[in-house]
Amino acid sequence: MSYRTGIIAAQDGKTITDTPQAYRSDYGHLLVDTRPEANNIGIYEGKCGSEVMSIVNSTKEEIFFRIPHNLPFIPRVSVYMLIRDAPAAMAPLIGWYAGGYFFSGGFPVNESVFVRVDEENVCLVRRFSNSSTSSSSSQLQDVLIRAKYIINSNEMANAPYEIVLPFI
Amino acid sequence: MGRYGVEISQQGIPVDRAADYQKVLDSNWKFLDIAFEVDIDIKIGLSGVSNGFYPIEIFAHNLGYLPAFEFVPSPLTKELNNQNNVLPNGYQESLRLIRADNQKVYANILYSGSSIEMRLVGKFRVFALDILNEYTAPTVPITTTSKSPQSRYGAKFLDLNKGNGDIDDETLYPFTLNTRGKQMSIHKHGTQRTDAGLLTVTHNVGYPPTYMICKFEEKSSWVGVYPYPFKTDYVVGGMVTAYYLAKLTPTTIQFKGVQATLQGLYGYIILKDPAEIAG
Repeated sequence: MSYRTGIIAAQDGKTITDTPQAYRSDYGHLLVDTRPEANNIGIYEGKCGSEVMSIVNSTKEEIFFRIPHNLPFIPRVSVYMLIRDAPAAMAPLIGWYAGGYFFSGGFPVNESVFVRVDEENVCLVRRFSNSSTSSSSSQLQDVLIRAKYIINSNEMANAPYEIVLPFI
Repeated sequence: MGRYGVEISQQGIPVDRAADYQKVLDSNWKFLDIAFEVDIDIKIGLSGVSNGFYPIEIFAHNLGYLPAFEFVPSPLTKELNNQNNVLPNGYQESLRLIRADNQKVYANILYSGSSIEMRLVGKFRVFALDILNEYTAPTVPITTTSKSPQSRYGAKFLDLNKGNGDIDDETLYPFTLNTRGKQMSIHKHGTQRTDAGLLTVTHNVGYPPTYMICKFEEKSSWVGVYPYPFKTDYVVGGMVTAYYLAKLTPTTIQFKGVQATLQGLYGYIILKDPAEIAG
């Protein structure tokens, strides 16, 4: 036997049978557990790592923020990163929100900050790559960010994933 | 004219003093309804064709409009010919790959002379939201926000699409509504065109908000350029929650590229949730 239960709210001035309705509880929704102990919504304020990296023809990573999501699946996550302070070369980015490859010296050097989500944690990661045979140094440890993270109680993947966005 | 409808605030927050982002249901507003979710694990490929882009159907959504959607590829997403793991750049490559018209979702494969076989694995979340439409939530003035002690009263609705959920489940996963948590609602969605490299969206929500953004591809980019199955004048790519550079204020969001000039038509969803304040 099929049955329907829940709430359907019409849009203002419309009847309940007019679609789309303002709200239908039979649709799924993006939810966030707001209990303090869940820690699924919060702010990280600090540097993008502490390690001084100078590398040749290689890639190096540092996880500089890790928070357990305490969910029995790999969740949907969004992170909004505001750049509060940065060395002179990145100073034009101060005051902007950014994601992905927002730091770059251009090929062959790339610096990125991205989100990695696995079965247990949400991590902010810096990745520094230099495909040149000349040494190059990362500057991310001197970049101060304020990042709001929102961990939804909605599954996003069956395997760990990274939100590495295009350098546009 | 009187106001009527349904309003439910988060647990512990009086509804008449709840900020907009503290409501889990307000029938005056739109919420980010999920039409459906799809886990895909498919092989797609091309060989022996002329060089160019080829949209390959992944699945039909049949919604009749261009939906807002998001896609996260699994690390299993690979180009199989040379065993290159597409990740860690897979997310960006996959985002550039995926398009939706008003009926179907496609992977737009670039063929450049050698056979391509790709395994595409990941999850799609398709929202019941026509991203070409414009919407702004009516504002509801409040005096101040406040919290009261946690109460045992509230509302919960199980999401019947998730099987036999338990109403006493401690996580929010089985629910479509639960006053113990926050529910993402929409302040504004619409489209904005730019040819000047700076994309400005006016929202007037009163705080720097969280957002999602997507890029449209227009008919002129495929007609006479590559074979196309699209039934619409635009196709839309996946929504992302952080993209380009964004300057957020209580009234506007400005987007700009890090190194590229933004150009063309973009879609956006402004959520009723501050980008900096937890709560």
